[in-house]
Parts: sequence; structure tokens; C-alpha cells
Amino acid sequence: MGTSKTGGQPKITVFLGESDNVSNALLSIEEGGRKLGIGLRDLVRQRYNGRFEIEFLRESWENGIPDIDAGKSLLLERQPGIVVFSAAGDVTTSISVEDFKTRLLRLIRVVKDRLDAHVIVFNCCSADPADNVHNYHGLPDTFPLRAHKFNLAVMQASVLEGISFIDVERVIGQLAADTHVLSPLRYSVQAYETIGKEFLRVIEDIAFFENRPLVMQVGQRGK
Amino acid sequence: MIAKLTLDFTDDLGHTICKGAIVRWYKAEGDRVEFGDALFDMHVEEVLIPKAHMDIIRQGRKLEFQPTQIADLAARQLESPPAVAAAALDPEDVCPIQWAFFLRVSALDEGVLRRIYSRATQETGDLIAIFSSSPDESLHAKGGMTAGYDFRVATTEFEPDPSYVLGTQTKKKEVEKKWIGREKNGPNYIMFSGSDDRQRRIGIYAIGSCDLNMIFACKPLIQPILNGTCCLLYEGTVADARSDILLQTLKKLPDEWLEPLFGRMRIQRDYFQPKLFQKTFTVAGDEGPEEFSKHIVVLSTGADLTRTLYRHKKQGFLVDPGGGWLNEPLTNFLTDLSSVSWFRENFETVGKVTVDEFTANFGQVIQELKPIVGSRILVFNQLTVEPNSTTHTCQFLKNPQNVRRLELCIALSELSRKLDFSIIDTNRILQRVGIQTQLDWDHPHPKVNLLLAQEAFRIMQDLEVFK
Repeated sequence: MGTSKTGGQPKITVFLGESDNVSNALLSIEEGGRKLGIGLRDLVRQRYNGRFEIEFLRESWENGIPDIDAGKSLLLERQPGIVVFSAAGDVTTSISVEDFKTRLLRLIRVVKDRLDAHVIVFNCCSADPADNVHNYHGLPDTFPLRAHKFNLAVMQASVLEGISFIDVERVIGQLAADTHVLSPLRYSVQAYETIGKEFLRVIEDIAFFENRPLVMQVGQRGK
Repeated sequence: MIAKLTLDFTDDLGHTICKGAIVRWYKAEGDRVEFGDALFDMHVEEVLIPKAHMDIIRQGRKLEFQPTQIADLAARQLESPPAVAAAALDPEDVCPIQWAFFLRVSALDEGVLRRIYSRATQETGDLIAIFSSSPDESLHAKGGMTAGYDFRVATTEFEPDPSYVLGTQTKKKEVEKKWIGREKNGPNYIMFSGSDDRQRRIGIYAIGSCDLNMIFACKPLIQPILNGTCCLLYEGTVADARSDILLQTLKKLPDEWLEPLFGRMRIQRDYFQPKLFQKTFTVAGDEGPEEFSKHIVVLSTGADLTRTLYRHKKQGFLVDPGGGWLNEPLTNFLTDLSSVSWFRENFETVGKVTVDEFTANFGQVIQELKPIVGSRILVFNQLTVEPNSTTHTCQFLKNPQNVRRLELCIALSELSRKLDFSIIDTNRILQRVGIQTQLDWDHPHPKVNLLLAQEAFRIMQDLEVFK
């Protein structure tokens, strides 16, 4: 992303690499989410009195980040302003953390270089109500430990590439995971609402709703 | 046959114990229990009594010599619809009152005491213990614990708590000695007994950052099941406890190197002593020094995460001028300005530890401790998400804290996998209860201490420290 785009455009196209975490936090039940009466589109309409319209481009990424170069994706056919996906889809597959990180960085570079779009990645909450492991001797990675490793990969990608992340781990940690995590990666309605509001805060912070240059995603690789 | 003992004690007058603490167990897990054996002593704090009794307690005496009020009350009762009047005297209509006394609970059934569920406070319905007919009977059926019978008990002794009732210090001490046992507190330790077998001694030793002072919250959890004398000791500060400083204490440094430090820096003379790696520790008792073997060592990653160290330019040893927390000027921890110049002349920073250095150093600390305590090492990890943060990109951050914390958290789990020790997952516990009220990364609400202590106690029980 060499040039700085300007915010304040009346239509913001958001590509969703959909997993439960993304769709349940951003889409209303009418739009295909399963938790929220009011989704991101309605939130933006309400807050900005209809001055901005969110258009969603949706593709199911339930099984994790696809190998963009190997297959056809809606992502490369259109020109979204924001590309959103989640690490949660990969945590539950057998992909190694190293492969996830490689694929994540490749995707981010494709999006930045070919589409000039902003990338926003949801990390995942590591809480597992059933987890009470205190000694890892002789054990494979537990869900919380694997989630930590994926979250670290997302943060390292943010350092390198300047992408933004929705810190689902922090949002739910603030709310109290005991109350808001039903099982690994399944959260309460209030948690999804809060994650959706956090997403709106982040795109506001980047300046999508203001007539000024968007905050660039440069990162240490781009310096 | 499995039998459960829950806190569900009601006397003939309908008074139910609704809150209390078990202050001493007479039996340990695995012991055979016979009819009439004393099981435990309980300090009862709250009792549920019928409202009718409460009326009697509160109003009865007042009314005794107030004929007009007696008449008025009778008049109001006559005016009340019958249903309401009956409800007012419903014996199932109860209310709690603060009523403190000690109670000894003894067995009416026989069996083997298999599991004790210890909590700081027991409330009505809480599971206290599980018994079985034979020592090796399975406690679990497929899909959960077997239903089981109620284990029957009786209260065999009763004594009011003098701090509530009598208020005389002498009497209070006598009663506490009888029911609770001996206790000795020092500036950084608590020593207490849980039963008559005081020769058995359990030492729990913590060294490092301030998160470790929560070990004292373990006391009310340990005491009820304690068969012997236990000492909880926490020493040092965050500035004594980075893993390379701890390892440095294994080397004998020449006195002439160290002597100049003590006048100029606010570090203690035992800073370079291998306190952590000694097999025992000593505290002051009523009748002189008392020595405890280390049964458990408790550490924290706090110092490795946060502290910057300085190396002597010629002699190569490390110091943390510390004492303070983060971002405080060096002048706060050196005695005067000439010491600041001296320090700058003689020491250079080595910065914070990298993740690889942490893995190597902390791993070596654990390996040095293994011959002393085996796997009975508990390590506190640290919170990995910043309370109330608004950060959503790391591109503008130099050495982001959240990345570093997550890296160390993962590295500690990998070390546990490799070296077989336990982690008190502060990160998990804080996020479970919610981090919104945290002061910052490292300072949760004091109430969280009990949750951390409960986790430490659970692990200690898993490690069979008290058996």
C-alpha cells in the first residue's frame, strides 16, 4: 500500500472471509449471522444517519485461510476497501502455526499489493471452560495454548505488515470469559455485540468515516 | 458404596448452618473412618433461622414488659387476613443471622475418606467430602460422579466464638488454641498448625515479584486439611528475581567486588546468596528459629518479563538497582548523585531478556530446583492482554508489550512440557473473571488473590503436598 487513500467515501465495501466469529459479530440474523438483531451495517446507518453504506462481499472461509494463489476467490475479483477474516477458522484445523503464519502473510501481501485494501484480522479467545491443565508434560497443545500461538502469529503479522486486528481475546477478557465463553470459540450474544462495536471503533480509527487520509498499513516490512 | 458429605446441618429447632469454615480435619484422605470418629471442626459464621425465632430474639424481650405494644401487636394480628397471619408464622420462612461458634462434627457412618473439598468458606449445600466403602472403589461412574448416599454425621462439641460472644482476649486465645491451633506471623511469613501432629512440617517458599504475595491467601484453604505445621514464606522483590540474577547466586562472587555496592545501592546483603536453591528456610518461632524443608517452590515470570539488568563492566556480574517498578529514574534507587556517576561509570545495561534467553535461563533455574523439590514447582505466568487497551495494530509500537507477554507465556508452557512443572495460569484466571477492573497489566483487584490461591491450592493437592 504505497499511497494513502482517503476516507469519507459514502460506500465502504467490506470483504468477509467468513467464519462463525466474523459473521456472528458483524452480520445481523437477517443477513445470515446467528446472534445479532443489529449488525454492522445497521450500526453504521444509525450512527451516521445514513451518510455511509456498508456493502458486504462474502465468502465462506470456515476452514481457515485459503491459499489465495491456488484457487479462485471473490476477493480478487472485486475491489473491497476492507478485507476481514479470522484466525479462529484455522485454530480448529490441523494446520501448523508456521503454515498458518506463512499463508496469513502471503494473503496480507496479496491484498495490500493487488487490491490496496485494509486488512483486519480477528484473533480468537483462548478461553476453554473445560481447561484446567497446569502441567504440559507429556501433553499435546491444548486449545488455549494453540490459540495463544495463533494469536501471536496475528500480532507478529501486525508488526511486520501494519495490519489491524480485532482483539477478541481482550474484548472477552474484559467482559469475563467465565460468563461469555460458552465453549471454545462460541461466545455470548453480548460478546458478539461488543466485538462488532470494537470493529466499528477500529474502522473509525482508521478514518473510513472522515474526509482525510486513511491510516496506512505499512508495518516494519514496509519501512 | 459411595457416600457424600455436604454442608446441610439443621438442628431440632430448625436452625441451619449456612456459612462457615472448616478449621481442622482429624482425618486425611485415605483414612478409615469409624462410627464416632471426630471428622472436623468448623467455625460457623452464619446460621439460617426461622423468622419466627428471629422475631422472638429481636422483639421478645422488648415486648416482655411493654403491655401496650403486646396489645397493639395482637390487634394488628386480628386485623390481618388469616392467610397472611399464617404465612408470618410459616416455619419455612427463614432469615440468616451472624452467629459465630465452633462445632466438632463426628461420623455416624463408616467408610474410607476419599476426597476432601476444601474452601475458604463453606456454604449450605457445598460438597465437603466423599467416602467409599473400600479404599479403591471408583468414585466416578460413566458421565460423572456416582449419585451416592448422604454420609451421616453428628455434632459432638459446641463452643461459642469468644470474639463474637465474650470479647475477652484471654478466653479468645484459649478457645483459638483449642480449636484452631497455633499461629505465628512474621513480616513475610505465616506459620500455622492444622492438627496435633505438629512434627510434620511443610514449607511453601516463594521468591520474586509482588504477585506472589497471594500465597498467603492459601492459608484458610490449607489449614482445614493440614496435618502438621505449615509455613508460607514470600521473600525478595521483583528486582531479586530475574532468572539470570537467580542463577548468578549459585556462583560465589568475591566480597571485594560486592562490598562497594552495599553503601551505594539499596540492595540487601543476601542479594547474592542462593536463597532459592537452599533445601530449607528458617523463620522466627515462639521458641527460637524454626526450619522448614521446601515442599513447594513458587516462582513468577514477572521479573523476566519486566526487569532491565546492568552488568559490571570489568567484573561481569549483574545487578538490578530496582526496588522500584517500571520507568522510574535510577536516582530513586541509588543513595546520592555521586553514586549515580559511579554506577554509570562501572555498569552497562544488558536490557531485558529475549525469549530465547528466558527459555535458557528459566529452564536452568527449574533444573537446579528439581533435586530439591522434584516437580513441586509452581510458576505464575502473566496477563497477556492489556486491560482497557485500544491498540489494534502493532505497527507503531517498539517492542510491543502484548507480543512479548504472549511470547513468554507460550515459552513457559513449552518449558513446562519439557521440564515437568506446574503453571499457575494467572492469564487464564484473570480473563475468566474479567480484567476491566485491573489497575494495569500486573495489578488485579485484591479479591482476585483468593481465586489465584484456590488454583495454587488445587495444584498443591494434585501434587499431594499435604498427604
